[in-house]
Amino acid sequence: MIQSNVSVLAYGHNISRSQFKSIPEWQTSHPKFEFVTSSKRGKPKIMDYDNERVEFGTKNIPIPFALNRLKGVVEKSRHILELEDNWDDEEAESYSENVWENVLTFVVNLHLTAFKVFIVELDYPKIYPGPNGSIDITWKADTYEVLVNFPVNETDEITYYGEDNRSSKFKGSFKSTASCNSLLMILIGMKKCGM
Amino acid sequence: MWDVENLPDEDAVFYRVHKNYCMDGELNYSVFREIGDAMSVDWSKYSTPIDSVSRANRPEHNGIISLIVMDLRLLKLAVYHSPSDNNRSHSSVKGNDKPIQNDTEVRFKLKKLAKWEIPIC
Repeated sequence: MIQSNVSVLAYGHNISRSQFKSIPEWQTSHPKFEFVTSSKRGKPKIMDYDNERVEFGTKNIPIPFALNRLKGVVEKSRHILELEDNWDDEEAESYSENVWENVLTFVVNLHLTAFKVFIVELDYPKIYPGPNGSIDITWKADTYEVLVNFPVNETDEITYYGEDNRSSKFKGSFKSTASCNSLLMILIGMKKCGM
Repeated sequence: MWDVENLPDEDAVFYRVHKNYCMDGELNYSVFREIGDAMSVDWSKYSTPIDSVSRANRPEHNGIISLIVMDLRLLKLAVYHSPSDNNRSHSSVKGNDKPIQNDTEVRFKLKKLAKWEIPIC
């Protein structure tokens, strides 16, 4: 039974006591639910609870259970590495494991930052072969769509363009994955406010 | 050799799509790319979608999308007739300041504009 001085966070969102009662007991003991004691001031904080890992290439990154679906993103993207030169009968290039690994590192870190700093679980992207050995990342939901292109050469810019269902358009570029704040804010805004 | 003609805004061009550009049942953005110095298309005045798909090495592995010339020009793409000896309909689409494959915005918008004539997805 939950104590009266305890708040409940599920996927980073507060849920009410009545909602909590409707959750089966087996789920409340599941690690996706994280319990913190509420204070009189301030909001409850999500606890560090990286009890899962996502593995690809040489990377093995701890993630909270709530972001477990990142594993599916990684698995679905592996088909890119199976494409051989001339996979389109028009001399399309194959894809480097190094670029693929950099893309996934970027995606995982973006989701971790959104979750841990902003308490937002972003929509999950799909990763597709891009032109000339580059890799495309797409976030697509009912209300918006964003295309990000990740270049082969690390010194080239990562570019993005997107639109929402209210005819707003947004575009930008950044050179380093560490300076992706504009894209991060757009994805958080889309998820939280549909802006 | 065929004369080079002006491509009217209201006409369509046909673009071939290999089946490997269909992923999760959708057209992939990377299909839009210049090979050589332009994206090769066929002008609807001298070609049908069937004609266009028949020019592929393996027609059964390809579909056809159409794009309206005016829509392409509104994206600031150059669209012009460039007939070859064996294909009077051959035309070209080219990025303005950079190749289409390097322009994320243009690729995004081309996918939205594309209409299936012979679906492969």
